[in-house]
Amino acid sequence: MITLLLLIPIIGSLILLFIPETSTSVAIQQAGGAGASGSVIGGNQIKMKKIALITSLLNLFVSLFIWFQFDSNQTQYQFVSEFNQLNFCHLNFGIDGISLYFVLLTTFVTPVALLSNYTNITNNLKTFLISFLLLESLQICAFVSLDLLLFYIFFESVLPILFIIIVLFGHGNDRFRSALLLFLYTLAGSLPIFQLISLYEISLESQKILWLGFFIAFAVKTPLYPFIIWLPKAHADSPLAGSIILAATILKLATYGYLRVLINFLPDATNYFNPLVQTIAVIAIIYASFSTIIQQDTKRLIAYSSISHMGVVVLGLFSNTIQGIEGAILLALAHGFVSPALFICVGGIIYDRTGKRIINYIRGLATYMPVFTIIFFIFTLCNTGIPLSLNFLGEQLSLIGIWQQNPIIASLGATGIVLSACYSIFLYNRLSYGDYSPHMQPVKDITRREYYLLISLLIPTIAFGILPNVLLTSLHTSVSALLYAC
Amino acid sequence: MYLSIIILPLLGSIVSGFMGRKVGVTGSLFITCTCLILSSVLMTVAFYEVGLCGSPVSINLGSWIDSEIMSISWEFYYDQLTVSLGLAVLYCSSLIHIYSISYMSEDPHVQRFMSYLSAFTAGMLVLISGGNYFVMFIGWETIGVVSYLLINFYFTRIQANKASILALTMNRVGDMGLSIGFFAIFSLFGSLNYSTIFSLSPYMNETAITIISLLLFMGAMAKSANIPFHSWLPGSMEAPTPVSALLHAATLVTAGIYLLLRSSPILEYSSTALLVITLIGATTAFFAATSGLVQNDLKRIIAFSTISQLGYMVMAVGLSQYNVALMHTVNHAFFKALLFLGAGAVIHSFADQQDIRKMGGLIKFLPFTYSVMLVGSLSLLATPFLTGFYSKDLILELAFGQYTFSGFYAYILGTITAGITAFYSFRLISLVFLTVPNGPKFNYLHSHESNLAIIIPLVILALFSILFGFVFSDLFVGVGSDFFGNSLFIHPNNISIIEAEFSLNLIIKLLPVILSLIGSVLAIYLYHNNPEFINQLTDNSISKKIYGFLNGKYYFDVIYNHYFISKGLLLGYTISKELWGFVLGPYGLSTAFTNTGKNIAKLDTGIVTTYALYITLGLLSLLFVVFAPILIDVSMLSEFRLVIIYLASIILVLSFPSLNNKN
Repeated sequence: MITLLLLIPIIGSLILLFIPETSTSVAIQQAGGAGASGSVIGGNQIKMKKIALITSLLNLFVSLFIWFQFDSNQTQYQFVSEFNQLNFCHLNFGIDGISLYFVLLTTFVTPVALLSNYTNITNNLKTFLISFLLLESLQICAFVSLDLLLFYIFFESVLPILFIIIVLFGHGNDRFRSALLLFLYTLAGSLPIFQLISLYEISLESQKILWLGFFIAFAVKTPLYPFIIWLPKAHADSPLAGSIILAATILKLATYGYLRVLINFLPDATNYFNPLVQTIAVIAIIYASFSTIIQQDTKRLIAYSSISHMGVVVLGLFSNTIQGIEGAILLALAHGFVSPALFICVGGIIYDRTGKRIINYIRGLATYMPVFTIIFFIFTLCNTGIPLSLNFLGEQLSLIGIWQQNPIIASLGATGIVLSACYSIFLYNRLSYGDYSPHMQPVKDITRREYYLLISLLIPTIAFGILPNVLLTSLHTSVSALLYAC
Repeated sequence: MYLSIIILPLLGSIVSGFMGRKVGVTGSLFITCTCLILSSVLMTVAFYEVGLCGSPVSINLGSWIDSEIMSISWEFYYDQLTVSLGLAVLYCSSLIHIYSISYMSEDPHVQRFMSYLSAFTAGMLVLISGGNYFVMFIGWETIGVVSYLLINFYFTRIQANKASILALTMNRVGDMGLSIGFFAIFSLFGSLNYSTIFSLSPYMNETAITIISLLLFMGAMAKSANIPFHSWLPGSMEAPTPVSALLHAATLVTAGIYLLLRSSPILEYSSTALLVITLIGATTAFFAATSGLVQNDLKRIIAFSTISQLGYMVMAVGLSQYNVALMHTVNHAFFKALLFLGAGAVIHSFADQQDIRKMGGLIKFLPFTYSVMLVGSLSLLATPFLTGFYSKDLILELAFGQYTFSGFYAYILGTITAGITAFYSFRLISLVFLTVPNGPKFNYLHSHESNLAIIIPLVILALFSILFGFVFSDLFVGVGSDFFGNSLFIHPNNISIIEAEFSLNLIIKLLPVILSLIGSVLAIYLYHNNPEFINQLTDNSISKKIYGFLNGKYYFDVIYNHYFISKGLLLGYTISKELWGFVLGPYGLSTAFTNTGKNIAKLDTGIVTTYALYITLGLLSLLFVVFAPILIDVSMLSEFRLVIIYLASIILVLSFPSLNNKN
């Protein structure tokens, strides 16, 4: 089953490889007006997009089927597939309660990412589609691989593809630098893993060293203070689909890494370093929130807000309680729904129509785009962690978990509740209300494609917020095993 | 039936909000008003069943969160507290819906407005009927968000934007306190269900109970506009007047009081928390009354009066007289809604003028509105045997009857506040209705009494303001009344109703009434009969300073803006530009490397003696490293976390040159 999950995107990209791109694509520039260029695009391009979309949707259905078949009472890995013919590593794949939702998130977000840039990528379309399908495959590999070396390989393998996406399809003149920054920062962070991966004698001392090596790698990816600078730059310059994947799933690689490697394999060292992690996470929450408030670039603002949310996730993960870890996973999922939606709102819908991302130029969108404003408002609220959204449950459970470890850290982490409201509502208010901006032409409300994109992200956020037990039942056994089993 | 009470307003809101284009203005008005009236009728039945017959109802709709020992259900609980408050909420809300038919008739966004109003009512009902703290929190946040939307109803106005952001963020500060309170409750009790917590709280550590109580009180302070989280309420008067009546007088601001009333079994076991609550409540009452004394905006005066009355309620909670606090909450909902709606009628018929200095003489033009405003004001300042009298006077008597420092403090401030309340209420009445006309002639020519949709709610509310206290006071606050059953808990040590009723001096009991009388007569005299005197009074520098201080609301906004908002933004700028841009960012790292290289290169001076010094130093260091284990204790190096701190500080020190060079 997992093999299928991994192979479908690869097969899809192989099919795409043999379809020639039409020559018309050269003439059409990557213009802002998405709707206008729709009619001119060659037939092959539409075919390619459809193939990519169908592939990713097929993968989504396969993963949903896996969820349906998943036995939540087992602690072992399920759907295990082994390829022991290869002798340099153990090419084994399997899913347990922890990785299940990250795989589902990946398969869910990939079609969303493809659809989000469905009309405004015309140059190098084939590269674009293939890289996203490959990215999906590689991420799933990272989530399901049962071998530390393979995990490392797949953890790193997403970087070159992201680099290509940002350089080829990004905005702004600074994009090469941003891409390079992303690549170097995360690679430099990950190198310690590579060097330490060969250690296998686990005394407490070497556990500590091992732990630090892994932690730096994951901290860069999370991102935690002080390794955060790559994230806002990468988000600001990458195309919309890249931002979506980056926020929704690439950051979750680190969340998954904490759970799978640090807490699972190195529990003593985790316990030893707990105060350090909590301090760093609290600093990340507060500092990131404060610098979010003053951002002028909408995409950059959302990127900074991701940092503070991931700080809460890390607090929950290192709380050493069931509520904390389950809450952290819920919050990670919720962030995977809400953050892409906000990126689509500001980086897709507003940017496509006005070509502007600086907040000062945008004002009074409620006048011309009422439907968009409603949906944007709901997502803004979800971002602040309003009850009935999954974010609320994740945040509250994480902080309840950490309170049982350290009340002061929990209280400091709870300042995120105020600060997230400050920056989210401030952003929403400036964009949506007030007089209509003199810098903008009258714009149209959201199209059908954008509407369904946003609604498809909204439904899980609210539905799981009302009935989180759907998710929690499969988590209980795995998380209990993580904490209590020897 | 009990669920329909909540679902009907929600339904009205959804239909009016998402299908407003289909159902049209009339349809939206019809649907929301019908839903609300039906819901009120059902609530009346619920009041009979639960309140009068004394049979609380609990509804469990299944599990919400289930994580290890944490088990939270979708649970609704109707007891005497819920239905008493629910009656006030739904009656006021229905009347305000009907009022809005006429008041908003010329607005292009009627459907949106009605949808918000109904959503707010639904949120308020969830808040008061939730069966555990998390379900309650849903309602709590819903009313906060809808309040943001309603304050921002005229969304092109910058003042409305500012006020709504302030309201939301200030409420979020309270939510933070409340959330932390939830964390503490969960780690202490292992549950968030009311029944579990309340039955266990006698056996818990008093310090923990105090912390929890104070955190819950922080949430209540923000929602109920107590010092220091009060400054959003005057600003929120940017909203349309029905909103001010519904949210900022009758219901939303009482949510904090409800939280305290609901948590009475926790609060009762912490005398410290009760003391804090009393002090803050009394201070708020006094502060708001003095600020309201010199405001010039019609709605703003009533807003400050609301804050002041909320202070009374919080004070009553702090004195452990929960039933009196509830009685005052309900009474206040009726007479304050009446005052706001009356003010709305004045504003509506007087060309949207809100400055009371530009009104006057309206008694001839709006006699009906004058009558209801007078009824509201008299009820507010506790004229004997009107509604307000039965709760407000009782609070003051109970405060004195405690014979404690906090009770005495509350009594003194409360009594003075009663006098000031009378003064500013009659200042409003005389400036708007009695004195010589001060407005433009155009406004007077076009002023007219409002139509039936406005008059009916005003009449009903006026009747409530006159009669409700008389009818219900023995039920709610009578000596020995067991109406509230288990829903409110007063520790036997804290019951002081007997002393208050039977042992106080007559002068103590009459002092608030006497002061109110003096205040109202003085106000009419100063603003109606002898306005020159007050002009002369304020014509010197000290008076002007005092006037500025009071009119500027004790400069709380200035303090917030200067010390919190701008400092916070500056901090954000420093972090994102300086810290992450220069010190820890890529630019900072590269310059740090270059500068370190340059600094090291400076060592290369070409002077032989310097080199000799380096050699000596190097030799000494080498010797030190070799003999260090013998000479000093190196065990601190074995602590791994310390090593990290050393490394971090070295990196910081290295990057300092890059910071200096930048400037």
